Amino acid sequence: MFYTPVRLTARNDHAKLPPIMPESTILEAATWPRLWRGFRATLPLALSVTPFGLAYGAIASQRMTFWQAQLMSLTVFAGTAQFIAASMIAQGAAYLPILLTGILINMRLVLMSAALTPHVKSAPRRLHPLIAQLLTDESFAVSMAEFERRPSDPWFYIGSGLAIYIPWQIVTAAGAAFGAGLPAGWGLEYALPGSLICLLFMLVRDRRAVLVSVLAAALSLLLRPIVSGTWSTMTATVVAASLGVIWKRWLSRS
Amino acid sequence: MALTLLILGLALGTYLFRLLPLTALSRVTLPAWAQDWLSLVPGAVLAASLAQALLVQEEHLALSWRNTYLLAAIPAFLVAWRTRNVVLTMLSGMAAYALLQRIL
Repeated sequence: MFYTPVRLTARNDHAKLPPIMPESTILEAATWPRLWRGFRATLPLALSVTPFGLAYGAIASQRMTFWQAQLMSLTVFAGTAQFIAASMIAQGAAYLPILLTGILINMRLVLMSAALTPHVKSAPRRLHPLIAQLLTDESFAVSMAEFERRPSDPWFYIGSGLAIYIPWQIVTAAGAAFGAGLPAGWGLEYALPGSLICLLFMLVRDRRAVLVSVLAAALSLLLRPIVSGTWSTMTATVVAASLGVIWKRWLSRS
Repeated sequence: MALTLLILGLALGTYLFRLLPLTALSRVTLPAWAQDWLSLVPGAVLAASLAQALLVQEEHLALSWRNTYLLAAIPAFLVAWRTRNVVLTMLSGMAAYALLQRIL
């Protein structure tokens, strides 16, 4: 959901689990316990996305109706992209750059989905659309850690995905209700920059990422008179990220 | 209406990224530089977005001590640095902003 490293609190729980069953037994075992195991292993991470869901809802409530904000949670279901889209909408941006930026942020889901596919392919085909929709950083991390130790199990993954999907709907709705209920003069205008500041701290971890971010910020301001509206944000991002990649390759060569 | 369509468009694009490897392209690999590039994108967008939110007011660059958005960022940065908690950061920024609006 968020492009941050996930702490695997469930990692040491494996010691308590029964010994590994052969693949055939696992596939014949009842569905619900497998679903539940994935759900339980992932639920602690739902707690870690709660603040982001609240912040997203509060920002979304500024320019979107409650149902539009919730539609985004139900369908897009990707924290960082939802956050950025809501913030660009709150800033009154043109729609095409919002769409392109959101898609750019979510492109990494292709890589996660490709890595997950061998582990969940055994599920009935009619479940594949659901399996796809439930993919987030959190369910991916927990499931991949599980499948390293025990046989692949699509139901574990589905349980894991639901443990993020359901709480996400609740906390984003709560955030939207909070944002809509706050009277004027209580600083709701600052919900957006406030949460962007914290997210930035969490996302930008090494020196190169800091430089790329500073560059993107400066370029977006410089480009503003030339490139209209949010296009400046997107252009600055593409240029800064490209320079970051080039810089790294240039350093590794010399 | 247009906003709803935007949301659905973003949802469709995102869904295809999730679904395609599962159904069609089961062997997707991106070159290392492309993965590196994608990893830098979210931070860069956030930073650019934040710069716009703090420094652009009514379509003009606002670099002054009268810019309450910029001033309220100071406590927010401190809270973010110390706690990494997005709700605390958001609330401290909101409180500072509301207070500054009354003083300045």
